[in-house]
This record gives sequence, structure tokens and C-alpha cells, in this order.
Amino acid sequence: MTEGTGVGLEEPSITTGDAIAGGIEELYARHIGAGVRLAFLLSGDRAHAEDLAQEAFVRCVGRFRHLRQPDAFESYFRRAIVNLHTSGLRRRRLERAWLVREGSASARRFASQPDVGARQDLWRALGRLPARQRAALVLRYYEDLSERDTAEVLGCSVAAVKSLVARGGETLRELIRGEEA
Amino acid sequence: MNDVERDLRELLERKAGSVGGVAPRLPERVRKRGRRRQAGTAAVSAFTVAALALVSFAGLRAIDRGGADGRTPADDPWAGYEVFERTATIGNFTITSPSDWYLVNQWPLSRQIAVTGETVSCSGSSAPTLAGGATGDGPPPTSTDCETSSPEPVGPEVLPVLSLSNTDRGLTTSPCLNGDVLVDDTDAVMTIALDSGYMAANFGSGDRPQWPVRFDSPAADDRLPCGPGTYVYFASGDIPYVAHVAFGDAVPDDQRQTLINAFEGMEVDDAQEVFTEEPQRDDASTYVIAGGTNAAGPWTLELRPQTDPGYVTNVQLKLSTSEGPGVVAGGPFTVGEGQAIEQAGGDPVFGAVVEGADSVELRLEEGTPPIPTQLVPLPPSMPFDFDLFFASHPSDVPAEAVALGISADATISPSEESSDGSGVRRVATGVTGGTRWALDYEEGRQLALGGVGDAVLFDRIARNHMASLSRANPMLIGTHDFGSSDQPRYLLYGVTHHDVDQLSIVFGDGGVITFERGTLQNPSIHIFGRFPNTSPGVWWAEMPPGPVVAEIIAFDTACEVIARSGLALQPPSADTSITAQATCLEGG
Repeated sequence: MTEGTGVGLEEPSITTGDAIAGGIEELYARHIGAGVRLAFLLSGDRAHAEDLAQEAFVRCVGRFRHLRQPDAFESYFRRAIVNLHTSGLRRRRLERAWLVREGSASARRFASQPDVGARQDLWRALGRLPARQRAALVLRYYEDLSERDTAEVLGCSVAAVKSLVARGGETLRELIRGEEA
Repeated sequence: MNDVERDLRELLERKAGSVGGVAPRLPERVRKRGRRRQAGTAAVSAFTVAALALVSFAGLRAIDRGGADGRTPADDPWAGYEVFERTATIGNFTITSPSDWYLVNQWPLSRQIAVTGETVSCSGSSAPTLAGGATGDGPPPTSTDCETSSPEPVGPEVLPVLSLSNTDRGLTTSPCLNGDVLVDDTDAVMTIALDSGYMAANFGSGDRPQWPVRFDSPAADDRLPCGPGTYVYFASGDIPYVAHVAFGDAVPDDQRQTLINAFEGMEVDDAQEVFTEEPQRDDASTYVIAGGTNAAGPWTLELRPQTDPGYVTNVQLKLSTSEGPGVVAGGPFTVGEGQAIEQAGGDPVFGAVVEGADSVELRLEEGTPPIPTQLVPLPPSMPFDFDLFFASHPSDVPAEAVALGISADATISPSEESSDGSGVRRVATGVTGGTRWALDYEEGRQLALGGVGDAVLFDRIARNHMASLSRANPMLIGTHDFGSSDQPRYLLYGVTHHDVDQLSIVFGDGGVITFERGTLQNPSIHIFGRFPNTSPGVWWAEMPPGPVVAEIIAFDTACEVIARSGLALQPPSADTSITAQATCLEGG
């Protein structure tokens, strides 16, 4: 078996170094689309995905001149999106808990456009996974990152990635079986 | 790949495609925020460099003072390890201390108490040595479970942020939270705590002296929440703190001075809020192993007992950065059971390595000098036989951590079954053609030949083939070439039906080797015979360098040939005939 390499945020036309020379506008144009797609797969919410990707972009650009490897912007950007998503989820859980206590109906829920051709049961199940399990699955199966690269993005060990992917897959199967029953 | 994985890949591609076009034009507000952030980062970096230079000088001074007549007890876990200067940021404090002092991050625990009123304590740590005879004597604990206590009946007077001590006091104690800090004769302990009692009584009207303060600043408070010792009260911004230091009667002067230097050399940031982070359910105190700064800001590498039930191992390493609690990283580490080393992280790279390793280095591309790492022994309260390591690696070039000084046999454990519940047996590990490999067997699923220490899978006999194993098809054979294009070096491996009692490999040059279930007939050929008789057998054989022309013959218990399989791997000529005969070992 050959481990995959990251492809989701990489578009081969120009290098990040070129993009930097052209300013943050070019950097943004080069990376924002892939960033939004990744954020959407993590969050399930198109509008939130755009906010998430833009926030991650701001943070990465802020530190960009301090990166030893400017061409590694993609991986920093990817990591920032995942981290912002997982930390943001925690904040939103607090907000939701507070809103529930206050009797508000405005607690935010994940939303996506119906896609009759897709496995809606699988998509719903994916949305119910813990954030890090979902992130691990998306990084492995969409971004095609190796286990080691996934571990680096998630900031955990390879063993932890294996566990996240295995548990995520198992939870998906259970959730789908539950829906079918 | 199973159905769910395949469906998931297709779904993710489809959903990603459904996002549609994203406007490539940089929104004005994003541009402004990006520029502001760049300017802010530049200013903070300049300040950080100056601050690090200052605390490094203070730390070096501390080590210099403590050097000649410093503590080196016979049972010092740091004996034989290089002590380094550790600068770490915990909460609003950046503190520098020698690495053989025990720095404990109490802040997650305090934060949890402050927000939820609950505490989590993890066993696997020895009890502290207490004055008056109560000690942590007895066998080391083996359980590493964490328990959540009931809420504190009374709001705590102080919320400890960190503690620094010259002896390992474990993680189960909470200085000041559990009452008086008691010390043995040679103990030196400092606790820095948020003075929550004072804060509640004087909200917005406190008059504590602002940091920095000297250790000998007179205490401006008559409350002594941590028991006997020396108190220094101070504030940073609006937040009041208390430092409590307790020395045993026999603590050498150099160690007293080390602690005082660590205190006076602290940097205290008054910019951070203290109660904005949501506590995690498993928040608990951690040992701070190392600290530093990377592109994301300050980081700390922290250690605590492992609590994930899915793993065999007993420690959890956590990398925290200034990104906030959302960037808490790390994981359980598995070394010793057929694996000498495991790594994680990027900058820094960190991980665990078997205790016998002389050192660990990071290897990058061919021709790039290896990067040495810092080895760190586990604290005495974690009685496990491996070490930790870390190294800064501010580059995106993948680095492989390699353990040096361990023998190739150190990790071979063919008779062991993983106890992680996965059903995977590590049949063997070895080195062929300079590559470390491992053979993992999952009954009914696969026999996988992979790399040791990483996720590379070289080859495998997969499940669909395993399902075909029968008396009529009693041998499944795998091969992998670990050599070069001009000099192959094969490893043969396989699974046999339970009716197979002996295997013979007959080579084109006339050589014959035979081995039977549960025996080692040749130093380089092994059969794994620990499965029940109704289970398949697993074997492997390392071939000498060069092409392989052979026939593998399977015998049953009656010495009847039940299968033959020919192999011709990079034969030097068209002649692949086998002339020698295999002989069944009677009574085998």
C-alpha cells in the first residue's frame, strides 16, 4: 500500500512563494477555494465554512513572515482550519448549552443543501461524529493525507490518528445501521 | 477499502464539489485584518526575543549557581541524562527552570474547579512525601484511571497555576488546594496561584504590588492558604496572585537559590484573560516536560497518565500552543511491544522511545545532517520503561525519529499478542536490506508486512485471499524485495491452512530446508506455532541477497504432500527448474 499525499489544498500552477511575491491577494486567490471546501466538509455549513477559512487565512497570513518554510503555507492553512473548527465547536457547544438553558430557539445547527444524489444518511452520520474523528476522516479520505501527515495536522500521534479513523468509521457504520433499522 | 470508506470518499468529493465556486477576490476586511495581524506578530516577536534573552540569562545564572554542589542523589532519574534549561509558558506565566526540577501545570485543574466545581485526578502517580512520616512507599501503582470528584464544598482560597519542585510530588496532589503544602527535609516547592479569595473580596480595588517583585518582598496579606512557608503577594494587571515557597530544613543553598531565581525570572503576562477557556472533561494536572516557541507562538509539551482505554500505553503527551485550548494535541504512545519508537508533532517533533535507546535523532532527506533530540526520563511517579524525546523542527520537511543504540533484536516479540483489543498479533520484526519491518497478523483479515515506527504498509495477504485458505488451497505466500534493483533481497512470508504441519523450501541450487509447526529449523526461517491447531500458521523466511528460485511444499501430519507452489523471483536465467526433492520429517 502506498500512503497518499496531500492534494486538497495544493494546486500546481504557481508556488506559494510566487503567491507571496504577488501579495496576500494572490495567496488568498490560490488557497481560499480549497480551504472553504475543507471547512465545509468539517462543519457541514457553507456560510460557516467561508468564515472559518477566512479566519484561518487571516491567522496564517499574520504569521506568514515568521514561517521558516513559506511554501508550507498550505499545511499551516489546513492545520489552522482544523484547529479553528474544533475549538470553535467547543465554544458553540457552550453557547448552545446556554441558549438551551435560556429557552432560546436560536441555537445554531449544521445545515447543508439537500443533495438527493448523495448518501444523505452518511452525510448526516458524518455530522454527528465528534469533531476530531470527523476531521481525521476528512483529512484521510478527502485530502488523502497519510496517517503521519494527518497526525501532524491534528497534532497527535499516528496511533491516535489510527484510533480516530477506526472509531470514526465504526461510529459511522453504527449510525447508518441505526437509521436503517 | 470497505464499503463505508468507499462511500465516504465519494460523498466527500461530491460534497466538496457542491460548494461551487468561491470568490477569489480578497475581501477588504480580510485584507485589513491580515495586515494588522502581520504587524502585531512582528511586534510580539521582537518582544519575545528580548524576553527570552532575559529569562535565558536568568536561567543560566541559576544553573551556574546550582552546578558544582547540586543535588545528584543515587536514585536521581536524571542520572545519565543531559539536564537542560526549560522555559515554558503556563497560563500567564513564563518560567525558566532546570529540566530535572518538576514543573507541574495545575492550571487546567484550577480552571475546571473555577468553572465546574469538579476536579479530576489521575492515578499512576505516587503519593507525595509528606512531613510527619506519611510517604508514598509501597509498590508502584499500575492503574492510570482518572476520577472526577464531587464539587468542592467551599470555594477555594487560591487556584494554583503551577508548581515547581526539586522532587517528584506526583500529580494527585494540588498544592494549596488540599491544604497545607508539607515538605520533607530536602524538598523545595514553589506554588504560584491565582489568589481567588483576595480577588473575590477586593474586586476592582486590590492594592497588590505589580509584578515584577522580589522574592523578599514583604507579604501584604495575613492569609496563609498554603500553610507554613514564605509568601509573596503580587498582581499582574487586575489579577492578584500569590507565590508560596516551602523549603525543608536540609535543602542546600544552591537549590534554594535555583527556586528563587526561577521565581524572580518569571515573565507574567497581564494581557490574557483567565476564565475564557472552556474546561475539558479530562482536564487534569500535567508535568511540563519542555517549552519553546514555534510559528504558532509559545508551546509546551506536557505529560500525564494515559487514560484512553483503547491503548496499551500509560502516558499521554500533549502539545499546547498559544492558539488556545483548541490546539491541544498529542496522544497515547505505544513503544516496547515490537515498536522501539513513536513520534508525533511537527514543530516540535516529540514522542516516546524504549528506555534502552542511547539517543534519538531526527533524520530528514538524504545528505541532510540529523537533528539531535533531547531525551527526558519519565518522572518516578510513572514507572514505565520508556523515555520521552523532543526536538524543535521549524521546517515542513518530514522528519523521521530514529532510536540509536538499541539492538535489532530488542523489539522482536513473536510470541506476544497485542493487548490493545484490536486482535492484531505482531508476529515478528526484523531488519532486511537495512529496512526495519514488522509482520502483523489479524486472524481472518490479513497478514501485513509493514514498516516499524511508521504507517508504511509494504505488502500484505489481504482478507479476500485469507478467505480462500483451505486444504485444497493451503498456502498463501507473500514476497517483498528489500534490496536494490541490481541486488534483490527477498523476505518470504505466508499463511498456511491448519492441516499444514510442515513446509519445505527447495531451492534451485539444490538446497532444501524444512520446518514444521512450532519449530525453528533454520536461523533465518521461522514458523509461528503458537496458534491453536485449528488456526492457520504463519511463517516467514529471509532470503540471502540475490534472485530466488524455489518450490514451497506443504505436508500434512501424515507427511502427505498437499500442495506445491513455485517461486521465480528475478531469476538470472530462464532455467527455473527445481531438481532437489523435499523430505518430510517423520514424527514431526
